[in-house]
Amino acid sequence: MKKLTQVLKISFILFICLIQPGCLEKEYPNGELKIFCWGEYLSDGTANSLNVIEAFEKETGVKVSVFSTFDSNEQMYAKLKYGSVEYDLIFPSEYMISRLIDENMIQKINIKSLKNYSGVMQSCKGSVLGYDPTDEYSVPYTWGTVGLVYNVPLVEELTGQKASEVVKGWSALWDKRLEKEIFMFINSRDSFAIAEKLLNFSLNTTNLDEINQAAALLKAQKPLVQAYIMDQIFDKMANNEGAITPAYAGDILTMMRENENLAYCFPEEGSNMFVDGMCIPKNAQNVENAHKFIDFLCREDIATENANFISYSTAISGAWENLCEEIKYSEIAYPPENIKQKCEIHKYLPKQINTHIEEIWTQIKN
Amino acid sequence: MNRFSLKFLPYGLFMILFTLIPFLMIIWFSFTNESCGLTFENILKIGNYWGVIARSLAFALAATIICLVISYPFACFITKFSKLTQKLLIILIMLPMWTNLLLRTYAWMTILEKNGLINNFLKTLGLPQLRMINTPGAVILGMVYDFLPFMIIPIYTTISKIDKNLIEAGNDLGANSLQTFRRIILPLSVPGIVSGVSMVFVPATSTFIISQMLGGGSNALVGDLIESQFMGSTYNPWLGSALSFVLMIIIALIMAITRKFDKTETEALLN
Repeated sequence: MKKLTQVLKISFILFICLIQPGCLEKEYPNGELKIFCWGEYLSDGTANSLNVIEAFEKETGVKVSVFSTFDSNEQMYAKLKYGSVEYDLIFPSEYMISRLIDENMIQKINIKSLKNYSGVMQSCKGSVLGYDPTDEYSVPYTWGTVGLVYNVPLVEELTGQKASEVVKGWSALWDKRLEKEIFMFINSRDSFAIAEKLLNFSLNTTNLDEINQAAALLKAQKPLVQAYIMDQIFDKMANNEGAITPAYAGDILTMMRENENLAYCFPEEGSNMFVDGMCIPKNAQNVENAHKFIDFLCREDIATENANFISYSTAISGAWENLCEEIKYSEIAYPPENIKQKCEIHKYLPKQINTHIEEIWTQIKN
Repeated sequence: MNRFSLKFLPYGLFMILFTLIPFLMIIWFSFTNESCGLTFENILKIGNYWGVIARSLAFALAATIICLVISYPFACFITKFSKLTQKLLIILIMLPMWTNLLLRTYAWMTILEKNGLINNFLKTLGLPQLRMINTPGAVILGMVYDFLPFMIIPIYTTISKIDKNLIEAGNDLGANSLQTFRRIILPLSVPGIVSGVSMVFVPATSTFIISQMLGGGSNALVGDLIESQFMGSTYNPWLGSALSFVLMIIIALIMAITRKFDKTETEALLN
């Protein structure tokens, strides 16, 4: 009997410890933070980099209790709206920020409380690009453009021409000589943007006739495409599995580092520029800690670490100064003004247009 | 009666909570829209995706037939060994199943790729290279590899349980080995074949990831379509539920027909 009471006592204490956060974790006196972020989007300590999350925990005494990742804005939106976890900090792209503001799903950020906000590049801000007109709902984290990356020897072998003459713009993705050596984005928005740019339409067109023309073009491309993929593209291009693919600038730099046969092309027809920001959802429970994290990522040294690690272009002007040479002077990551001028950002499209595009995209792919 | 129902209670609760309620929710979602109104819109929309459903059924059928052709002789072959060797062989068959499905499929990707294992081997031999990755064949191969143990094991179990006396009796009565096989072993192993077929066909029809990794995103199966309605860029759980519901009905019908067919077949073979 005595033994039994002992056991009960111990289990009671353990139980109390479990339901009372902090009893076992004295290290983190300042509460917790739940982050929902793109995959591989923060420097994580591998390959001699800084582990940004650990550095943040040590410095602020805030425990990052949840760190989940997503690979598309729409997936993030679905989890945010219908999921059971309440996140404190999310990293949506510009058109998704507009949508979240529109649907009243994110809250205003107290910009004045951010000590490092002054370093944020003017050209990335919502008020300049239009996705967050008052700059109150988001703080830019990274930006970039969509470009083409191709395998020089493979393209030359298949076409018998100099690769830089074959690949000048999006039309190379429709080149019959590269049949079954072409990769394409698996998500509808990026794929339609390519077809729309090729047809000289806006990538935010809501004109059904223009959308259907783009769809017809994508359908004609299908027999030439080897695969519609997203994250697997790194391995595929590194192993010479295909000749050409569209990709995000940051990813292109990563791929080119792994395979010296690869070259970059900014499409002559123009392209898409994107900005990924940081936002705080309406139902966040640790708003103060979310502010701390945003401020932390805006700090120059931390932004440098992140930008060096993920290769995406930083939105913090001071961070650029200290980047490694390879990225700092790369025209892929930091294109000159005339190239930026040829880029358009995604806007949030009306719901019925979005659904229409999704449906025809599913049918095209299959 | 009371004692029986009390014992049944935990299982009953479990089934209600995790089988019945989710099933009813799928039906509910299939016939409603975002604003909770009743609608047939989701079911009608499936018309756009018949191609994908037909492809899933065709691929699953092909994979099932290939699995059966490989498994049956193999299962017979295993029963010829000593008990200990049999156990060892069965463990070897189960071994790949202890690895994650994603990992196994990923391995096939590197084997089948243009610069993968097979093509590199062909290259060193000076033979022409093959295009294997991102084709329907690669998807079916992935299915066969992933689901093969589910076919071998039930067939092996039924064959190893056949009473040896029956075979001896057959031999005593002058049956040659072909007759023994056709009149005794085959009919008695039909239950194993039926459960093997359903254990391969059903998961193969609704599988996902395999086609994404080996089929290049353009050989999508209904499982991928359903996944993208819940997890992917097209968030539409109503259409996803409707697809799952229709798929369930199709599979149930096919299974019912198979079972009926096999019942009459067994009787015909035994008579």
